[in-house]
Amino acid sequence: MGMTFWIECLVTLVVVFIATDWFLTSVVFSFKRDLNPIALKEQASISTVRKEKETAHYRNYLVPHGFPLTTGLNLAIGYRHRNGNFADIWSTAMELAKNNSIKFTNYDREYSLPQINGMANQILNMHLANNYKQIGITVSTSTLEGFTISIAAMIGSIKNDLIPHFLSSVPRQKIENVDVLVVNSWNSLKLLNGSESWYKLIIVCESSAERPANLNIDFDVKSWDELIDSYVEQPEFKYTSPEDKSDDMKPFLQVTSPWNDTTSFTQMSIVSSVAAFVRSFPMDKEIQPKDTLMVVGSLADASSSVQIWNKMLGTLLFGASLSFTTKYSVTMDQPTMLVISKEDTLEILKKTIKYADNSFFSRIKLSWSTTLLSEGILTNFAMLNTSESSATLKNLRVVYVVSSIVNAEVASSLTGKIQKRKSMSSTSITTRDMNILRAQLGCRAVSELYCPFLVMGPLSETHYFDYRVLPPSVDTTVSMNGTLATTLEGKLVDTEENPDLDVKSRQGMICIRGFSIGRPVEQERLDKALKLCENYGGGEGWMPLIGVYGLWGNDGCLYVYK
Amino acid sequence: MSFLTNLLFGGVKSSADPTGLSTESGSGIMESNNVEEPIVAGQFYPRTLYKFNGHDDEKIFIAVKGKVYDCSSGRQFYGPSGPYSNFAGHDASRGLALNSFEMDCVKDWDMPIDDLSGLTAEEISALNDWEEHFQGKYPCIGTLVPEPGVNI
Repeated sequence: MGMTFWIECLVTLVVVFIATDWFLTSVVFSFKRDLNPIALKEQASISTVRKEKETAHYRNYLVPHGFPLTTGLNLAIGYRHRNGNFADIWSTAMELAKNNSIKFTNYDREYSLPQINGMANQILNMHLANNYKQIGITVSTSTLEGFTISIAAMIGSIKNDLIPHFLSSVPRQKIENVDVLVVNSWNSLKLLNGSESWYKLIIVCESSAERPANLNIDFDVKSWDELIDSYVEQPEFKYTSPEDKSDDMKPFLQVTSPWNDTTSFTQMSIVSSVAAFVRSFPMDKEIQPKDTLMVVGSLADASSSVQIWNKMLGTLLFGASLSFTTKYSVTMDQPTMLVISKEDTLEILKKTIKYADNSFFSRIKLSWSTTLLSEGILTNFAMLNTSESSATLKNLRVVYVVSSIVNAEVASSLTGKIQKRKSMSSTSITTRDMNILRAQLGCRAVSELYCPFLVMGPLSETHYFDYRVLPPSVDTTVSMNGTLATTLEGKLVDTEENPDLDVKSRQGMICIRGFSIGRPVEQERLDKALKLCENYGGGEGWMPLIGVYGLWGNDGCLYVYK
Repeated sequence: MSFLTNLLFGGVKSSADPTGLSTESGSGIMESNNVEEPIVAGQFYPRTLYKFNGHDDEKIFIAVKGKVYDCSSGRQFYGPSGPYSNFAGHDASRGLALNSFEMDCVKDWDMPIDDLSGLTAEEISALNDWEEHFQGKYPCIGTLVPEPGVNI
């Protein structure tokens, strides 16, 4: 065999290699991909005109310019539509509550919706109907007590002009209009240290039996068992819907941040946010009654829950179940949808190594799976296959990885002082990490960006089928946050403090407007917000997110500087 | 890197950079990349407005009482073959006031801007109603001013 033979072999091999590669990527994969790559390059509707010192207006491609943003549930009243309110959501959830349930962190058993509805209505009608204005809730919604009292107060927001007020902690200074306080234990009650006089009623989410014997109380206190004493299950929620859109601007809830800024959200905020969540599912992937949404860790804390009520109510709206857990593990009973923080996701990525057998073949499978994902094909052959998790991980179909803007305090305080952009030291998840998560859990993963205490629900989220891997230099500079939620539209504006960000290159400080944005309660913050709106938004309802800088990709997605 | 190379050597396909950051010189500034640039709102001359007639340019801009509106979302009305296509890229004030869609009511780009003289009170009232309609429906993107040497 001469030299020519080997050259022929080599050329043949190269030709076969190139032809196979072309055939796979151009022919076979086009039938296997979840979404055509062209769709991922056109994810936003972009206005044709921009103002000087601003970028064009960007929206989710589902709500193109010329059409309204997602405003609510589009409920028919004769020939017209109304956006709906919390009671519409809850009454529909009750109608569809056949086999679904809610699993809380503090009880082993599951609770049905008729039980929750019965407890909530009893609490509202027998204990909270006494001309109270606001119910200050410090208890996590992952507990039966926190969830039920929140629902009771939310029903009260429609029926009794009552407002749930979610608090980051027990207040150290009096909050105006909060006349009922909900605390998690008798110990917390003991620590009120005189502030109990600020409230007309204090609810302790423990039973009377656990009350310390030496506790002297000379104010109105009710324990959890007193609240739900001899309640009855109510499979129906009686409610007469209004004939007009008058509920849109009715207050739904208030939230106070750890830095004592209070923001108010309307009924329109929650219904638009729920509708946006429901719309975010692609065809054939919609929420089904067999689904279970699991919320992990601190996301269910009273004040943080404002971000995820849209998901919880959206899930119940389809007759699906909810569950809460303090710590997620791949070995536990799996839900079908998981909402988890960025920090907890990083923990999973670290810990899954323990569950994987870490053999050569496992590593090969993971490598192949991530390679296929980067081509747009989701497989589950690299899914973790420990003895405990093999059966259950198949249930999981989507993970929502939640991260917040890095300078939430500055953004929500609305100080108006714009500082030079600097890289914030924060742990971040790269697009490669997201694909490893998809490969190991064998499901889709959506990355969501939140603006806590200012926007209800996500600011933006990646597409359900977006598995793209960005070049490393881009991944280290910006985070991929997908398109804006369908309740919002956004633009980037020029700031004098950051001349390196050029609006002509679609860079700048983020401004948003839409229906899921809250309104500052304090007059001083409201004035600041209006001034900011005037200075940076041109007075057309734009809310600048101070200190949050980003750029619009040519795919229409929002990329936020780390 | 090809797919098979990635499969054999454990790589992943990096998507095309949508941000332009990977081509920068490290300053954090993105190079302008090839996407259609939006028009900057501001002042329009009849000459610069003309091309936004839905035919020469996909966008449709119409001037009403000195303000320019982006009517691209109303293409079925103002776009080519639409009932009001004569208004696209022009000052439509007189046509709207007279409720006439004829070209006689629309001035060419090289003529002086219509000062709306000769309109009756009723016609001006009709024009004000149309202006309100445009303000409510379409974004205002600038003003129409005469071009020195052309319109004045």
